[in-house]
Amino acid sequence: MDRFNFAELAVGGATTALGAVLLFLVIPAGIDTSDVGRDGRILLRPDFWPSILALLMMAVGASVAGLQLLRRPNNRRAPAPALGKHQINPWGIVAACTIVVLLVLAERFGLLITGILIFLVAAFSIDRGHKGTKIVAAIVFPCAMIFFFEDVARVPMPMGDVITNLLGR
Amino acid sequence: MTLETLIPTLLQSADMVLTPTNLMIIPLGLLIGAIVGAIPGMSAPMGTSLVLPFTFFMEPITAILLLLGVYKGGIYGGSIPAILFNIPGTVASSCTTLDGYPLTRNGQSRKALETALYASVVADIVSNFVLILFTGYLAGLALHFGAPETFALIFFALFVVAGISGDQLFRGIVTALLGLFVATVGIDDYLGTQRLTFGHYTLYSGFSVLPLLMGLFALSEILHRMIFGGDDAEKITAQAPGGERLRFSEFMAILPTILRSSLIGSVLGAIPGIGAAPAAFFSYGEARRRSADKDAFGKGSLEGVAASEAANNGVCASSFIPVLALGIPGGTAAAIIMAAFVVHGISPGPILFKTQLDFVYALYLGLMLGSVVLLVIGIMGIKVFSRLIDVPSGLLVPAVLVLCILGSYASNSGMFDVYVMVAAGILGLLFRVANLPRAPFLIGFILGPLLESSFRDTLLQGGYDASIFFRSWIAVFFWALSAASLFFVIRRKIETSRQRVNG
Repeated sequence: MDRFNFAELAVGGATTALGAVLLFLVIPAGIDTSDVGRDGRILLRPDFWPSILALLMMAVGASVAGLQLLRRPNNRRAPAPALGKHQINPWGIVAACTIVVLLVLAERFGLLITGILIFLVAAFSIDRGHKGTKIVAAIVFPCAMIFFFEDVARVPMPMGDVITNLLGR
Repeated sequence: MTLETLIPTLLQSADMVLTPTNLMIIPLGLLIGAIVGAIPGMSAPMGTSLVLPFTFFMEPITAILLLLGVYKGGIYGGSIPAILFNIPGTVASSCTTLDGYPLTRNGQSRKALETALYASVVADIVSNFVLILFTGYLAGLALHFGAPETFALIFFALFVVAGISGDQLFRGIVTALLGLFVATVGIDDYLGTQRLTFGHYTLYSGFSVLPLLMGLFALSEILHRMIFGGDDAEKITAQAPGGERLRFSEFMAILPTILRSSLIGSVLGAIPGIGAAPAAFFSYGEARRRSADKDAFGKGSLEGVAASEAANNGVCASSFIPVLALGIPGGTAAAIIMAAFVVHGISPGPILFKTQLDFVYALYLGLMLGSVVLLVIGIMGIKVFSRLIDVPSGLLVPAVLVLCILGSYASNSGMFDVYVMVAAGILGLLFRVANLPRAPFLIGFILGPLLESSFRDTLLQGGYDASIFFRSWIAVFFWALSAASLFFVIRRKIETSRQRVNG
C-alpha cells in the first residue's frame, strides 16, 4: 500500500470543496433554468453538463482524500517534497504586481505605453545587465509589434489618452 | 477518364500552375502564413481572411494557391512559438507545447523545430495524396461520422490526460475537469441560456482559447521566474546555440509515428467540425499508447512533437475534401477559401470534377508544390528561429510578455482577453506552486465544447436511447480504444504502486 501523503489529502479535500462550491453555489447562481419547461429532459438542461463535471470533481476529490485517510493509521508518511527549493524574491513580487497593475490600467494608457513600461519592469526584474539595450528594445519591440498589428494585420490597438492627444487622433 | 484525355488535362493543369506569378505566390503565401502563425493572437484562418481581399483581382488558381499557402504556413508557423516559448501560435499547435517546450528547456530547440518541420511536410504530402486519391471515399466516411462517433472519438482523446499526467494521474484528472468546467461558460447552444456569464456580454461566447493558453503557459512561467527566481530559463540559455540537429536515425525512428499521425490528421480533417487541435490530441494519445518510451511523453519526446504536428498539418489538405466532394467547408479556413472559390465564379462540390477538372488538377499540383516549398522555407527559417532562444533572458522574457499582451488583445480586439490572460497566468502560477499539471486543463478546455455538444446531439438523435452511442463500427472502434487505454492506465497504476511498496 502507498504511504500517507498529506499533499494528496489536501488537494483531494480542496477539490471536493471546489466541486461542492461549484455545484451548490456557482451553478445555481450562474445558470438560469427557469426557461426549461417541466417536460424538459434533464440531459438537455443547461446546467446538466456543468453539474456532472462538478459532481465528478467532488467524487474524484473525495475518493483521493478518503484513500489517504485510510492510509493514515499506517503513519508512514511519504517523503516530504523538498521545501525551500525556490527562494521568494520580494522585488520579483513587486515587479509582478506592477505588471498586473499596469495591465489593469492599460485601457487608459494604451497598449504602446503599457507595453514599453511592462517590458522595462520585466527586463530589469530579471537581471541588471544590458541596460542600454533593454531601454532601446523596450521602445523598439512594442512599437514594431503595434505597427504590425495596426497596419499589417489591421487590428486597431488602443493607444490610450496620452498618445491619442499627442497625435491629435 | 482515359489516358488520352488525362494527359492533356494534366498538361493543361501544369500550364495553369507553373507560371512565374504562381511560382512566386506559393512561397509568398507560405511565408505570410508562417509569420502569421508564429505570432500569438493571429491564427491561420485569420491570415487567410486578411489575404482574401487581395485575391479578388488575381487569377482563380493564383488566388486559391495564395490562400492555401497562407493556411498551410499558418498551421506550421504555430509550432515555432509553441516549441520555443511555450506559447502556441495557433490553437492547432497547443498540443505541440507538451513536448516541444520541454525539448527547448533541454537545449534541443533545433531538434524540436526540425521534427516539427519534417513532420509537417510529410503530413502535408500524405494529406495531399489522401485528398487526390480518396476524396470520394472519405467524403462518404464523413457522412457516416455523426455525433455518436464524434463523442466516442473525443472521449478517447481525453485519455491523453492520463498519458501526460504520469504519476500525477489524480491531479491531472482534477485540472482536466476544471478545464472542462471552464469551457462550459458562455451561451448554451441548444436553449440560448446564459451559462456562468453573470451578465457579462464578453463571456457570451465563452473564454477565448489563445489568451487562456498564453496566460496558463507563458505568463505563469514568467511570473514564476520573477517571483521565485529563474532556474528554468537559465537552463535554456546555458545550452549550445539552438542545440544539435535531428539525426537521420532519429527521424527514421519517428517516421512511423509521423505517417500514422498524418493519416489520422488526414482522415479526421475530412470530417467537418472536428478541427486540427482535437486531431492533434487524438494522434498524440495514440502515439503515446504505441510508443516504447511512454514515460518520455510530456517531458520532451520527439515522437510527441511529431505526432502533434503531423496530425494538425494532416488536417490541412484533407479539410478540402468536403469542399471539393460535397461543397461544404470542413473548418473556418476551408470556409474562407471556399468563399474565394465562389468570388471567382467556381462552384465547389461534385460538379467541379465535371466542369473544371483542369482546375482541380491544378489545385492538386499547387498543393504538392506548396509542400516542397514549405520544406525549403522551414529549413531556412529554423536557422533563424533556433537562435532566438539564445537571446539573453533579460530581453527575451519581456519580449514574450509583451507579445502575449498584444496577442491576447488582437485575438478578439478587446481588453477583456488581456485580463483573461492575466487571470490565467495567476491560475497557472498557482498550479505550478501546488504542483498541479497545467496541460490537462488545456486539453479539457479545448475538447470540452465538442464533447458536450456531441453528447447532447447523440441523445437528441437517439431519442435518449443510450444504445446510439454504439450504433456504428466507427463508434465501437473508438470505444474499444478507450477501453484499452483505461485498461493500460489501471495496470500501470497498479504496477507503480507495487514498485513503490517493493522499492
